[in-house]
Amino acid sequence: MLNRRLPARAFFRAVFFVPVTASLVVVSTMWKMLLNEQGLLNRVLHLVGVAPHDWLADPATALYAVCAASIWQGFGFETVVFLAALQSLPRDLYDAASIDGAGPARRFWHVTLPGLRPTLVFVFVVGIIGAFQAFDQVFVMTQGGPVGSTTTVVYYLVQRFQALDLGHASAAAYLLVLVLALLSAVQLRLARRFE
Amino acid sequence: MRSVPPRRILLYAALVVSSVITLAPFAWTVSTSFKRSEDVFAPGGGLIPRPWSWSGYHDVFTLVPFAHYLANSVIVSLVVVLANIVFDTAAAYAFAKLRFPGRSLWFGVLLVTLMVPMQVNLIPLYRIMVLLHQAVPALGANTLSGIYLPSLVQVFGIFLMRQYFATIPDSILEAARIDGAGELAILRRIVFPLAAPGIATLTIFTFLATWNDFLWPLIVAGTDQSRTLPVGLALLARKNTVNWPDTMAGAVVTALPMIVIFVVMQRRFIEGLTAGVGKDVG
Repeated sequence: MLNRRLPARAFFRAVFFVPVTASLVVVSTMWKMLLNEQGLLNRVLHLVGVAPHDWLADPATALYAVCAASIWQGFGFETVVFLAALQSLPRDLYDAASIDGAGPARRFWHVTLPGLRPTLVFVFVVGIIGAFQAFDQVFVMTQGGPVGSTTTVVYYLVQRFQALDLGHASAAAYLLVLVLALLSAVQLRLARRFE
Repeated sequence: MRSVPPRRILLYAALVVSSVITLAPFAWTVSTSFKRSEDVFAPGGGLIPRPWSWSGYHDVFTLVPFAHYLANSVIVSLVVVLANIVFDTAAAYAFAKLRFPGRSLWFGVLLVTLMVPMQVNLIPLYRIMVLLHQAVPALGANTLSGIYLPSLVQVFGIFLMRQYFATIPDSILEAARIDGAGELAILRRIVFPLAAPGIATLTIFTFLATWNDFLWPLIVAGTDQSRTLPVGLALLARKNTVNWPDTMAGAVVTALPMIVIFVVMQRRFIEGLTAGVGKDVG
């Protein structure tokens, strides 16, 4: 969307980027309040007739609530990455497609999407790697609970570490390396294929 | 007056809605930080605090040592940024422009360390800091040096600066050498000024990462004397589930310096943080 000649484009781009500069701890603190049983989200939902819910205290929703905060923070970064990729797509491909009679939908499908594929892979894999390392959100918002429903690998690692159970902590660390190494390998593979 | 096409209106509507979703949590945070604790969830309470109250800010600077956390964050960030500007550029210059045996091997080894997630180093690094603290009580675990020592040089910074230095033509350096300049003089007078945009990127990247860093400072700094803002805020948010204005005031104090710097130099900021991406995407 932002890849148009819009007045105030820089303004919107900056707005979307503000959460990226805030620390994850700040973001988690803010969302802990917003998701409170009496918090802003429940009040907004109340306006459309949804009953209040304590999102972070319910094992069924806590993990998704933590995800929501993380997605909200990552949005700006991903937007700017996509924007940079869109701006690097060659104009003449679009012109050629128009001359061949392709409408906006087909131009998007056949020119924009293939052009964005490496970026999509990049954002996808980097996002997954970041998610595997999730810690700050869990530490602040849920402390791994309720009943362990939001315990991530790194949160477990730190918990074991602080309990001086270094064996389990190290095992968790190496398991994490293994998963991340696999993911990086997949990304390199895919990135090469699309080049 | 020319009419606005409907598609454009739709576009702006979508942008405005996303902006509201992006900014509303911040607005609500600032607003809550100025409320009285009993007003936070009061029915009908809106964005404008009624009455205004400074008690949240008063509390975090008196009941909780946020002034101390703030000073610690500033010191740690300054030390790390300055050290990285000096060490990363020096190392990058050597890797980019000087010839010495094993140059590409060493650089390769450094790059491999980038693949190792920092969580793996957590336990050994902590033990090193404890041992250091036992040997020299002023350093290591539970001191500020415990937080900044492991980040004084960063492989990512070396990599970034090496990319910039690679664009500086050798002929300029040769000319300086013929004029009798030593390598340090070349680095300071020629390479530094030419790589100014790279150094700006390095500064922003390092500053943001250091200011917002949480896991390592949490582990290595076990006392209030050595905690930084994110650690202090996280512990406050966990402990204090009743007095929301205090927690939100802490969040504002933690986030504000970074947001001000972002607003002042946003172009540089956005370019800097997405700098590494272009290569992977290209």
